[in-house]
Amino acid sequence: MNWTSKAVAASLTALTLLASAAAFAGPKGEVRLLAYEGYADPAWVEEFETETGITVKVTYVGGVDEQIAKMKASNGKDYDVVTVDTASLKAFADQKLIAPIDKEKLTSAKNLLPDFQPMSNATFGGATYGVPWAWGSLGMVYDKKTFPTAPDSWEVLWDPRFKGKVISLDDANNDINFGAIALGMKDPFNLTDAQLAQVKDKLIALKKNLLTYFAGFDEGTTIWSENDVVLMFSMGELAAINLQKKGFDVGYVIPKEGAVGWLDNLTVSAGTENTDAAYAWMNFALQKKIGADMAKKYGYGATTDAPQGMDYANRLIWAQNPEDYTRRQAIWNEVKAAN
Amino acid sequence: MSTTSSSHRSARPRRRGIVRDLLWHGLNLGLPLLFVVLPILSFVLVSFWTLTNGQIVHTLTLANYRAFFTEGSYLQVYLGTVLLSAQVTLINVVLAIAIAVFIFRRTPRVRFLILMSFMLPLFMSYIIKIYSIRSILGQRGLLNEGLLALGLIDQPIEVLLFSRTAIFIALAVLYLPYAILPIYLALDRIPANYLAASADLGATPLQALRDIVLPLGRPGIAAGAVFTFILTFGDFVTPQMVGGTQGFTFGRIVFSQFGLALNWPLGSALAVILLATTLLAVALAGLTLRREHVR
Repeated sequence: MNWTSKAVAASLTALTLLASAAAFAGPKGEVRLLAYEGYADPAWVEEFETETGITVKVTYVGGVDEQIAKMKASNGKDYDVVTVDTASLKAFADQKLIAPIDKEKLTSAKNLLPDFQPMSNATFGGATYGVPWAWGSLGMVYDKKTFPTAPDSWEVLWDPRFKGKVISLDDANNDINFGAIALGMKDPFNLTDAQLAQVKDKLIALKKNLLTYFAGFDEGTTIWSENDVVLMFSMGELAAINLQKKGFDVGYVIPKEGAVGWLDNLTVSAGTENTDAAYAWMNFALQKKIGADMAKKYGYGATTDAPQGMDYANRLIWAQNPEDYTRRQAIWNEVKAAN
Repeated sequence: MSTTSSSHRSARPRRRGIVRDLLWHGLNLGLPLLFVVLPILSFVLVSFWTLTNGQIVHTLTLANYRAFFTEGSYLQVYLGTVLLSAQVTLINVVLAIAIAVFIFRRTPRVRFLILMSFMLPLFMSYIIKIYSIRSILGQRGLLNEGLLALGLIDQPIEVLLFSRTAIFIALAVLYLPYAILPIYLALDRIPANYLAASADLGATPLQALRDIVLPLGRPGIAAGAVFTFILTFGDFVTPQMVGGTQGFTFGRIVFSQFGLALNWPLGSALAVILLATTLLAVALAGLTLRREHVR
């Protein structure tokens, strides 16, 4: 053996050792998260790792489709803790991708705010599949100069006095939810043909009062700042936060009819081989201080700490999958094509 | 020894030449087939399927095409978009002819500079251009603020942005270079002595333009018109961003079938109709040129 082959052999040995060390990832193992942006802040990860000795590996996804694809690829074996929105929980549970929550191990459940304590959104078939973790809403942004007190009803968007000063989110499913809620319908996610027809007329009527539709947080904020807009059916709290940062005097309100809310849950993957690490992360994340930090950094509502001004969680209608996406898209196209 | 080796040498490159030719023609034919014809055929096929209860049914039917003619507002939006694109094409061709003739009249060195300055916007991102147009036309935009400051108006003109007019202006601005370039290139090929001869024979500059420059520039004008029509007809971003509640065009309907609605069969059928329309535009342009050629 000459010196080069010795060197190669030595570095191969070193690499093998390193690789196996990475696979073990410390004495306490590793917790693998499948999460949305903002759900695993580097500061929290660092604190958790020093506190528990468990290494954290985060995989971010952009949407539910991508999340289901990743989970199905390995039947959940690649992840330990998965954040799942309430509307998709049942699909995940039905396909046995997530396991019921072991409440014995969830020592931090007591930190949840009273509204979230029962975990009713995540309970079905006698088992609880998720722990409420972060939430938000699709509420109304209003100009405080025009409205010294917050408008109390969605009807204000239809008020001809504000013609050309109203903007609305452009999203087939959520616009139909919004129309149904404005009409006071009880279950905006399961509409009958007659109700859908009513919603369509309501949305066509709104169109005449609109300056324009918008898509996305940035687009809504930009249009508000370049035009004379006083009311917005918004994509969420972040719309108001962004406008306030730009110096606009705006408020955010959930009118009396309610609004669509989204609620993401922490769930345990059915394929996890390290249940203790999974619960360790969940118990860590469900601390009041982590929730407060998330609200401050990302504008999401925490389930452990009521953020300032976000006192309306019990008035939101948690998003469910609608009766028929294709149908809703066709109706929304009719609304947009109407004169 | 030397003869055999030389015959070998002459035979092998020949065989290699045939292989290379085959490979070359294969690539020439195969790549467009693989990347253009096959994808188009695949969405033509999908357009004959249907969506039932969220599942694609693989039975061939004309249901999607029937839906285009009978259901909802597909046909109405389609005709509206054809009209809009035709209007943009008309104004852009007129503008582009004027600009191309203007450039054509300069000395060669200046020509290049002016032409480049009209092509410059093509180097900029499309989205950035739309955002700029929006910040110019907005209620608190450059144009309104300017007119207010000059005292020409005392209320911002609201119809400038988020209206059909806004889509018209934005599309015309965005796609003007695509009309200028082919028209200018056609004019550039007109021999200078044609114009000198016509002047010698007493033609006024206007007569030379009408009887020599424009007829010889026709292939370029047809190409510029076709480019503008196809690009504006398929555009689904600009109308949405500047059109406000009027921003629903045919491209937008096609786009909407591929999101959460997941109605690929209907979306494909509408895309086939879009493709057929653009092919028709190309054929029309070709027809006008052929007539010219025969005469």
